Amino acid sequence: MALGLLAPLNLLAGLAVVVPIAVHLLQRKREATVDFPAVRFLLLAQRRSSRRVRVRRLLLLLVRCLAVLLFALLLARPVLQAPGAAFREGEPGFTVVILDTSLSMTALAADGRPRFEAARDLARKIASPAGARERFALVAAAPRPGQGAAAPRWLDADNFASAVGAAAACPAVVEPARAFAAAYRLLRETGAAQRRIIVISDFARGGWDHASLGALPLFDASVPVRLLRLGGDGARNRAGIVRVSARGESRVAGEPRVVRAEIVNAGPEQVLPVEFWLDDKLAASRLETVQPGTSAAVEFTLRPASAGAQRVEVRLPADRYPADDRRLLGIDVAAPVSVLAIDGEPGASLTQSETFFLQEALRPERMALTAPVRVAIGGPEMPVDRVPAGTAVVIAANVRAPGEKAGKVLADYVAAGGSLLVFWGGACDAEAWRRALPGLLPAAVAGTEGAPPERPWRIGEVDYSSAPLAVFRPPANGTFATASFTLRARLERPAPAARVLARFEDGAPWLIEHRVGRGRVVFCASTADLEGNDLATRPVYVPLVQRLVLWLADSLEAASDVEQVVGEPLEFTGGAELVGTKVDVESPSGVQREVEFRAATAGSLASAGETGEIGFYRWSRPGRAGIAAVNVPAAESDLVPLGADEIEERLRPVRFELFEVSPAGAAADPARLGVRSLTRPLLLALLAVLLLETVIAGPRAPWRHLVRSGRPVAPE
Amino acid sequence: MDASIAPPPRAHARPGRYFDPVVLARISNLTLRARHVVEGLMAGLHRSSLRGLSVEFAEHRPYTPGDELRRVDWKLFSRQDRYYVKEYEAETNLRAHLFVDASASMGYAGSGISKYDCAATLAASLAYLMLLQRDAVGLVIMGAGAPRVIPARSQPHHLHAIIAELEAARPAGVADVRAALADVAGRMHRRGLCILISDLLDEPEGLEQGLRHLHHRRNDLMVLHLADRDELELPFGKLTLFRDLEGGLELTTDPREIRREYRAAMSEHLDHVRGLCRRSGADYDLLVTDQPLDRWLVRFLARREG
Repeated sequence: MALGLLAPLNLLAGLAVVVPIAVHLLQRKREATVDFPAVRFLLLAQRRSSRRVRVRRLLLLLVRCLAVLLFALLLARPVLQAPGAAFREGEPGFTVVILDTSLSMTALAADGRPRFEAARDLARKIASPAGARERFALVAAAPRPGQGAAAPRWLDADNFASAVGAAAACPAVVEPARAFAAAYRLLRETGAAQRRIIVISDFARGGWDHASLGALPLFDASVPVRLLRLGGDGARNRAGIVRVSARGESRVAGEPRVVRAEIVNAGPEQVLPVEFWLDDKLAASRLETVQPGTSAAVEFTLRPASAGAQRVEVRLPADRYPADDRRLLGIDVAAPVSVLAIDGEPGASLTQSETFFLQEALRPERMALTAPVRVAIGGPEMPVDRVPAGTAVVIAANVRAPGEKAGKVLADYVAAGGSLLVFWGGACDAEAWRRALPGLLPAAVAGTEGAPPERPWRIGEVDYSSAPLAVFRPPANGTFATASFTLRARLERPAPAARVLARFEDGAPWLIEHRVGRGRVVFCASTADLEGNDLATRPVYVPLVQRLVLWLADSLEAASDVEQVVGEPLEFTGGAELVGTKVDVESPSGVQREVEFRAATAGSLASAGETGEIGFYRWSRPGRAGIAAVNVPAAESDLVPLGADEIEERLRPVRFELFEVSPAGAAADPARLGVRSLTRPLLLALLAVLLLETVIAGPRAPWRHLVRSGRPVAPE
Repeated sequence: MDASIAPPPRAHARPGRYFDPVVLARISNLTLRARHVVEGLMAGLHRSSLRGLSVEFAEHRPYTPGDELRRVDWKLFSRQDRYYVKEYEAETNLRAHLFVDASASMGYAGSGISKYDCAATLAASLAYLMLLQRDAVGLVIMGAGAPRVIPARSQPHHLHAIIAELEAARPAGVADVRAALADVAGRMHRRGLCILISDLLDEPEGLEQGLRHLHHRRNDLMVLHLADRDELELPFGKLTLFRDLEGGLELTTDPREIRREYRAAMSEHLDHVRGLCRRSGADYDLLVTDQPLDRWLVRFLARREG
């Protein structure tokens, strides 16, 4: 602590010390004249008191001079100030203000204003007033998502105030290490003697708890750091939603979807009203019991009536921190899968048809896994005009061969995004397939071959990493090894992009797939019924058929929509066929941009960059459209401030002084923080001096005389 | 001036108003002032404390209420049908000398009445009282130069001479108390009562010598020390040039700074004078000029009766 003067020029008032000196010197000339009879006693008294009188006069002069000097010192507003509290006037001084722009600063103070406004006021006042040689830099502790951190630079007081005015809290988490690193880098560049860092923040646990400055580059222990902590009003986040997700066995319209919201209750109430909104309409509302200080999951079940992207929102009553009182989720609702099964050898009875087992496997009551499948049976010829609209998958079961026209229809269908599942059988004509659909199958079929029943082919290798077969990964139930195959297609070398999903023990492909255009073709080298194998009697048959169909219909995965947090990249993945195509993205504020799918390890990837807004991002690409919900980071929901010891631990090795700033104090002069005014003690000292002067200069109290002499001189 | 000496009325009156120095100061005539004091005193006593007994008849005087009935001459009453009281020559056996200090210091009037005026009033009152009792009263005024001496007489008209002398005198110069006391002591052929009224600011040694002269001649001595309250308490409040009334001493000082020591010195002086008087066989009383005069007169009468 050092002594400083806020108004040093007022020390000139100390020149008034000449007044008591002059009074002391001149008072001897202001005398009355009295003709007195007992002058000899006066002389005697003066002789006796001369030493005491001299001392008293000197003391009186000193006391009066001291009073004047104390008064002048009071006018100069003396203070004891901590290092960095204020700069010496006329010398260059550099101040880095780290302003917490994280989301928690949007919490409302007791006066109804966001804390960030109070923080901004404080930051402005740091530079007002400022010396002509003082410079300031503003470092945002939480860079705005999607925009990156702007490089801070030195500004004069006016420009600094403008920069502070332009700053805003954003939906981001505070990054102390980055902010301090930027501050020390700036200060290192100056090389000045007077430097300081001032951090204005709420030091909410959510954002600062994970701060670690251990490896801080360019750390300089000589730079005084002052922390101004807002939020002393006790405002707390009562309750917030920290996560919303949806799960369900189906993403198909009409199927149940469970939306799960995780609620953290930091307030005193046990019962919280929770609302569930679907596409801006209140879908459900109920009271949930969440014990204070705990979290609980609240689930709502919805049945989307229609397909398409839908907006889900969970709401809590607004509190001091409105940012986490609502949380968004975009869900993708799909229509039922339409399958067209071409029966190449319709039998006399149902059980004799090629598609009997397929139909059985795809019956709605068996569809425990995913979306319902609507199967339409056609055949024995392939459709020659067009594939019915909405058909997701066309199954060709032991079809001899599509005609030329039908082949073109199929090729166009697949190229446009449709999927084709081919089961090879004894009725199939390899040459005709090759002619009708050149290049459509993942591998050209050379012919059909059979095996004696006693030596059937068996499945030897399965690609469990593939989506449709992943569920069969051992030790999961079901194995293909027990199935016997006596008829299969003899394939030539697969296409380069083809992927063999399963092979026979001799290495010949059984399941092989590849993409064609925007569609996909899966070739099964044996029949779907019992003609060429007994797979249809095995437990794996039903799930295999279902998963193959759903996979081809892009409906294999169970619905598992999760939210996204602002600042995270918004990315779209797809197959390699999407490379070069574009996806249109529209932000919640209506800003549109177009990003292109680029080749990636697993297909293609289109990145729209970091999200910077809270809300629903709409996206669309050919054939698909959806909604991505972007929410606030849940970490900022914990507004409980860190204690001084905790801050010290998190910011080590930075040594700092912590000042509490109440909401009312936000209007105070931050330059006074850490400055201890000496006005009160000096005022008391002045009063004491004046009292002493009164005692010394004033008349003697009669009681003292009584005590001294024992009785009055004069009779009363 | 009414020169006749009439017995004081017996009217019941509040005595205090007669002795207020402020009231007395407004009465310029010393005779009136003395009567004012004495009559007030007598009214306050409710009965005359004057009485005389003697074996040698001197004269008759008309009866006045308060006279003892045993002193009424009933024979003369039978002849003239009027009450007369017998006076005897031996009643006037007291010879009193009033020594009044008229030095310059006695002219100090801090609280309205100067010490000299106070002393003159007391002296006149005492003379009045004593002449009422047929005592012989003399006066010695000690001022600049030789003391003015009026021999003791008991005739009532002697009061005029005393009062005239008191009125004529003005406080000035330095009084030689020792010389005055010694001078009168040398002239006295009979022992009597000597009353010194002074501020006693002279050197105490001279006073002591003078008192011893009188005491040596077996006189009764009474010292009435007159003081102004200013002298006792030094109430002045600012830097002041003090000029001595009886000499060339001057002193500039702040009374506030030396008040304590001054009072101590004055207290020592008073103690010294009091002890001095006691050693010299004199009764001592301190009278502050702002105090009612009857206090001392009552004490005087009580002492005389005793």
